[in-house]
Amino acid sequence: MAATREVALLVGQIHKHKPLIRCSLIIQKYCMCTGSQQPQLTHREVQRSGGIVTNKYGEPLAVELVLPKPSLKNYCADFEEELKQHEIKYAHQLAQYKKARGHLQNIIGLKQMSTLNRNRSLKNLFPSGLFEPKARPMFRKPFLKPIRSSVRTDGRPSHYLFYTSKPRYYEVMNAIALKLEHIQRYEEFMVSQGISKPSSEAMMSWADGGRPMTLKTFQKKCGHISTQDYLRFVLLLQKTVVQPYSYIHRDWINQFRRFFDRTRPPKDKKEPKIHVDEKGRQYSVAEGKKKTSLARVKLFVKGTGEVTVNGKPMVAYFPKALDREQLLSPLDVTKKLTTTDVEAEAILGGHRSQARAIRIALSKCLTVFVSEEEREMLRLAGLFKRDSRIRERKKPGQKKARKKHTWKRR
Amino acid sequence: MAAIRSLSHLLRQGLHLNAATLIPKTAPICQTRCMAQKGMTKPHPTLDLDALETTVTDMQSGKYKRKTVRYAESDQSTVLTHDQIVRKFIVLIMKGGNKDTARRIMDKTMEEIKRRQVREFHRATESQKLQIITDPRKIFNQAVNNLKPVLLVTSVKRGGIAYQVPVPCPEKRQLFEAMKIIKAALAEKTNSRIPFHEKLATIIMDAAEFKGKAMDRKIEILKNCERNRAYAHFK
Repeated sequence: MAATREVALLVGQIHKHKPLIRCSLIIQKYCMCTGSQQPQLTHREVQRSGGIVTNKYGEPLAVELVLPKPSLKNYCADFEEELKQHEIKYAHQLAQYKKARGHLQNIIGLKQMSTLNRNRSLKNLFPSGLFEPKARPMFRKPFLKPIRSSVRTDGRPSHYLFYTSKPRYYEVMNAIALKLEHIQRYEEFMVSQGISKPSSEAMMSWADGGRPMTLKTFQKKCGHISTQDYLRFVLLLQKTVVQPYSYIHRDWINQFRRFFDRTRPPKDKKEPKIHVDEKGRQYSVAEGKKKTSLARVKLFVKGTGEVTVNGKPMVAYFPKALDREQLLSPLDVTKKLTTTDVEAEAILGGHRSQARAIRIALSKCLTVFVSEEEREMLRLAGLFKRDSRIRERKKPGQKKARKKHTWKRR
Repeated sequence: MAAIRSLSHLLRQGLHLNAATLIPKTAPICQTRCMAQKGMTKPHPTLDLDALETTVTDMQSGKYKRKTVRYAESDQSTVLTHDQIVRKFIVLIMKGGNKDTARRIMDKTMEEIKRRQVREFHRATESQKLQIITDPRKIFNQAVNNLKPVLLVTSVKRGGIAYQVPVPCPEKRQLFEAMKIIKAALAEKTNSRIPFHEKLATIIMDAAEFKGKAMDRKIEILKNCERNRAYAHFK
């Protein structure tokens, strides 16, 4: 009677959620699929399965509606079963994933692949023109969404703030609020004792420049919460920190804060570095942008004034004078026209915007080799700043981006 | 309206008074415009090398005050022949975004003016030579300054009738109007076929000496203002 037991189990799982007639249909379907006989259940089995009996033609009938009482025992058993099924499903998915990964590695010919490489190869193997990235083919490790039992063995929720729907968040908030209350009570006590202020030493030890932890780290601690909730947490924490006697709970509060190492020197600005060539020439590299154009420039400090763009001499690449004047202006401002060599690469866009992109990159390159005054001159000439305007799109129902059709009443 | 009362006086004086002397100081000279574009509120940078070098001396003496600037435009450069007002005019005569052609025409015009002036310079006697300006950009600036109209007429509707009301022209618009006058003078048809740059050169050189077609147009504008003096109290 293995089949019957299976069915009974199936029904046992279902009966909580679905009406009985539907259960019977499910059993019928199940039997048809598996090719097994329809169950002839004993009375006890009927009771256990939720009251399903077949008639003499073998059709399932909903006769005695002896529903088992919803007991805690059942609930726990169900949960265990659910967990088991979940794990089995995950193991299956994982096995499939590993198999597919092996195939993919064989196709590409690599023994080990990073996720980045894997994504790239997938992009090549299954090219997709779909707009939404989520809709394109992807290859990802199956993700096991954890099922956590929120109920204790005695049937009550395991967390005392279960019904707030964000128990871990409110636990933290509640704890901080209690500490705040304690600190305030302590202050009142001290005032009643005749001490209006804590000693300056104690206060000073608190001035450590800590900040509340970031949203990401807070979410790791308390599950997924909204920014609104995070802000509320920050406000509460700041209010607690500001209290004069907050140092009594310093170590406890500090678990929600982060600290910066003030002694560490600040990060370097994005300035190009000075490199040295094989021939011993000094040079710097920088990038520039304008519209869609991108440019990378290599500036050699000691040279004869040669400028090449994409391997060609500048005059050949930019036949129009306006582009050349534009390109050379940073060198002219710093008076390095004849003493430097420039190697530029530019892609995309038109000639005017390419020249502009090279100009920005060139003035960035120059910053390393010129004095502070000259750098300021370059800045005042507007040669560092990127023109961030881009082509505005055409709108439907209009002639161009802003231009409209001529208006007619009728 | 002090500006309008003194108009006839102005006409007698020779039409080249600065607008700042006429427009009362309380009146808004130009309105600030709000552009829906990024970084447009900041001032334009200068690529004039002399002006830039003053900042170096200022920094060394400690006078320097840091200020933010906009990005340099693509037609701004450190070339010696660069001139902001000429650059503006190039944009105005440009057609279909073809700035290169417009610039070439303007360069030819400047060359033409230079040639004529130098020829005159060599013909002149020693005493006259000092007075002749051979820098074409200076002549162009002078011509534009001479053509700046102090007054303009705008149509104002009162009781279903559109009146032509003379109003003082803002300083920023004067430059544009002056250039528009040159453009209109250029569009006039002539019997003989003269190249564009030669025609433009003659107009500019004439305007620098308070004569020619362009100057006639300017006087016409001012006379129109004088004619509609009665409606000056509108607006």
